[in-house]
Amino acid sequence: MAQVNKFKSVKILKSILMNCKKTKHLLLDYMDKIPDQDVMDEINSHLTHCESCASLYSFVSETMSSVNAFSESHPETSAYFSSRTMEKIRNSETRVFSPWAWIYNVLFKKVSIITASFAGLIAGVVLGVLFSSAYVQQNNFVTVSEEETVEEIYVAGMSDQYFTQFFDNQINSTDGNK
Amino acid sequence: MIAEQRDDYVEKLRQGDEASWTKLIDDYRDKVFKTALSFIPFADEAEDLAQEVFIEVHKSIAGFQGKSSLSTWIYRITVNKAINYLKKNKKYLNARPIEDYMAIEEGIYADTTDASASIQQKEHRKIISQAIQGLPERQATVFVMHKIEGQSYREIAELLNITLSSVESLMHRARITLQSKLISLYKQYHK
Repeated sequence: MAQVNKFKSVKILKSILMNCKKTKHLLLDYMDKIPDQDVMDEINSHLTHCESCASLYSFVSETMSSVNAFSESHPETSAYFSSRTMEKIRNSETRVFSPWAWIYNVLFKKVSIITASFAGLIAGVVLGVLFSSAYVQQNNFVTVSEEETVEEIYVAGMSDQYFTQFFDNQINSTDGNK
Repeated sequence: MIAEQRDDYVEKLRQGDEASWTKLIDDYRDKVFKTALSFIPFADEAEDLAQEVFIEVHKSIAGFQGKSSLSTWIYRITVNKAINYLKKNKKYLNARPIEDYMAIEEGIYADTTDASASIQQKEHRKIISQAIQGLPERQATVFVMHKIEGQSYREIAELLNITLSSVESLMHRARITLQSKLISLYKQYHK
């Protein structure tokens, strides 16, 4: 007996749930009276018994009524709309094409991210080159041995300053030996 | 306006005749404003957009061939501009406070005194605007043109250059999507 009652309750519950689902799917149609009369009656009956669907319907219908009210309204622009618009039109007419303005617009407004990335990349490369050359100059990575000949020094790409220094050392050492 | 008069009028517009331009703006300002407001529920933004529409009309009048009526052409420009505006400013528009929304009666009666009704109108305007913004672009356009602007399916088909059955299908899908958006908004508002 208890099982029969449980089965009945589930059936009733299922029918209520189904009705809620069906009602939710037909809310806008119901508002516009599109479904057949028996479906309209069914939804109507459901809405009188189901509080949550009634609340949802009230929310949807109030919102949609505001759409209808707006469609029937006649909003007006502000008092000086025409004169302000004419002024803007005159300004747009007198605006002469300027290449600088165009470049500025393209560089700083249209593609600012690309420009910034590109500029960053260039700056990075330039700074990299400057720092690395300064570092090489400061540490003088090229060493000159006393046995190297003048030709070898030139082949090693020594600057004139180092060549002179090397040559002087050579002379001094020869004089010392003598 | 008969064809000859219309051609003369358009010619004067092309020549930049100021009186003709003032007349054009006066004739269409409220219509353009209302269309802009149908998509963008803020009076200041909608008015700015309406101005941009006239500037665009002024720029493009030389290319107007008269295949459609002047009003249809202006309407098409307005709808395109409004859709582009919505696309670009979606986040900004959604962040606007409820007070900024234009209540319907503000467009009809300047001296409205019922503050609570006004707030309720603004809330409804916000909800419907959020729901419409959640629709795919073409569905939103057709929905606004039909339900808010009151255009017939045939007019919409001509304006958007699509078939009548496409308009019907888009409208059908828009209703289904809008319904589910409204249901989820209801859940949000009644948590």
